[in-house]
Amino acid sequence: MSRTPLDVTVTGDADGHTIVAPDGVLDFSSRHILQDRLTALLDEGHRYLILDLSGVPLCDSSGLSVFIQTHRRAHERGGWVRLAGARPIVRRVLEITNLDRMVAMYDTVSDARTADPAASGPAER
Amino acid sequence: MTDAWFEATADLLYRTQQTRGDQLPVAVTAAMRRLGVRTTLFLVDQEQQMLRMLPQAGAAMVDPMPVEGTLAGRAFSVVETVIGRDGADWRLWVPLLDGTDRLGVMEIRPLEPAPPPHPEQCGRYELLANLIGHLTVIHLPHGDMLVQARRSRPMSVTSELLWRLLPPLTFTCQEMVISAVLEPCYEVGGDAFDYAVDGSLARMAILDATGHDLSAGVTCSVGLAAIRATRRDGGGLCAMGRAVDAAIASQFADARFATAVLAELDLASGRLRYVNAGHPPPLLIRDGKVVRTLDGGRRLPLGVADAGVDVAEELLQPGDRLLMYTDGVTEAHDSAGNVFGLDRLTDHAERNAAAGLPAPESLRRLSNAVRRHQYGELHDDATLLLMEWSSAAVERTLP
Repeated sequence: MSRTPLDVTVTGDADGHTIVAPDGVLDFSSRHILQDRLTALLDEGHRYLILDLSGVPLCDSSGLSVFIQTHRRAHERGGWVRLAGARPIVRRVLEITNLDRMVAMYDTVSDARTADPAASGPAER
Repeated sequence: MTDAWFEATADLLYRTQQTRGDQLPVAVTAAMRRLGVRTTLFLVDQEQQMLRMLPQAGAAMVDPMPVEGTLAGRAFSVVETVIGRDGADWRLWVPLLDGTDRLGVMEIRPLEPAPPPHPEQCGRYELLANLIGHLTVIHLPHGDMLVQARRSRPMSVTSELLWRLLPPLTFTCQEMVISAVLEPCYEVGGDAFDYAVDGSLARMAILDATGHDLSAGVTCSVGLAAIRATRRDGGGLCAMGRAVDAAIASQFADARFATAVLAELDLASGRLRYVNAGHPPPLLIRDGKVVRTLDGGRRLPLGVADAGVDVAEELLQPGDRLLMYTDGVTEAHDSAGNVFGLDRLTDHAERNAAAGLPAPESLRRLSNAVRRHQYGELHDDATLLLMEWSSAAVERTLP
């Protein structure tokens, strides 16, 4: 199976946030690239993950399951995942599926970094 | 007193007690000889484009006939008996139905020159065709020939799995019609639909599981089974959702999910209750117009537990239609990236409502329009489910 190219850039900030920026279409063929990277980061002890989605032009349901899985794993470790900078198409997918109720969304990475920690509580119980 | 119609019916039942599926056309022909006619059975293919003759010992094979632009196709599509005349010769195309589920057509020709049948005779042929339709479906599981006759090409493993789980495409009772269409039918990914009508309660579901591969089909199958097990144990909409959440979470570790609409309509009062698990909202069609989308009842997709589910309610009016669809319909796109979109879906739905088409034909044409928009090939599953709460709609599904 051919893989959709997806570059993932990881940076940290002084407040202990880890900013993960995938660049490319997030779908069935590329989800594993992002999922593997996020899983590795969580295993290394990164707890507060900000997913910068500004470089993701399209995201299908396979991509959404990466957000769910990462949210669950981060939550188990006492951390959280926030989504930032989603383009309108991706934002719409998150809204239709109601996943915006589960994973907090912000307009920019900067907003996500400075948001109230209580804002990232899970809807899933 | 016995008459030829009774003899033919009794003979048909007798002959089909101990017959294989591939012998069905011969058994039907033998019984129908008692009425002085010769019959040929045609089944519509899975994609509902061509009517394909069931092979019959002693009869030459006829080329498949398109549903569009043939008399046989007209009988199939609008569910009406059609008579074709060629000088003194005539032949009858009678819809072959399992209840109201369209299977194909039966061709009837006189063995000896005879005057064309009058309406009362046509009505009797229609009843016999419905019996033959039931008998055809009864024989489907016993062999592969009847199934193969409906296929224009091989079916994927996922499709084979899912089709076996789905109810008939069309069901009609006195108060309403439910019909569905699922494409690409030979390569279904993870879409499904379900319904169950008992007493005055009609329950419906449409599902779209993550991904397009066999694992999506498995997710969908697990979802369908959880919904049915709960429903048959008396569980309501929220309980069904929770059952799917639990079944998916216990079986799969990769955060897969299915979006879905679960709905129930009280056929006496018109009260519709529904839950929307991250799915495109259904369309409410009233007096031939899409009057609104049903935006309530939102919860997280099935497979992602959600504690805060509120069931939404809507009071339907007699004659209302409810159209559910998966995102493969609205997101089907042409080579320039233009999506089929909600506007085109609305436009087609309204035109079909105005044309007074039977529900299954309305969906067949809508599905064709989606496929044409994408130049004949669908890349994602595109499923449509239409419920018409109307006695006029019921009439349209019958010959």
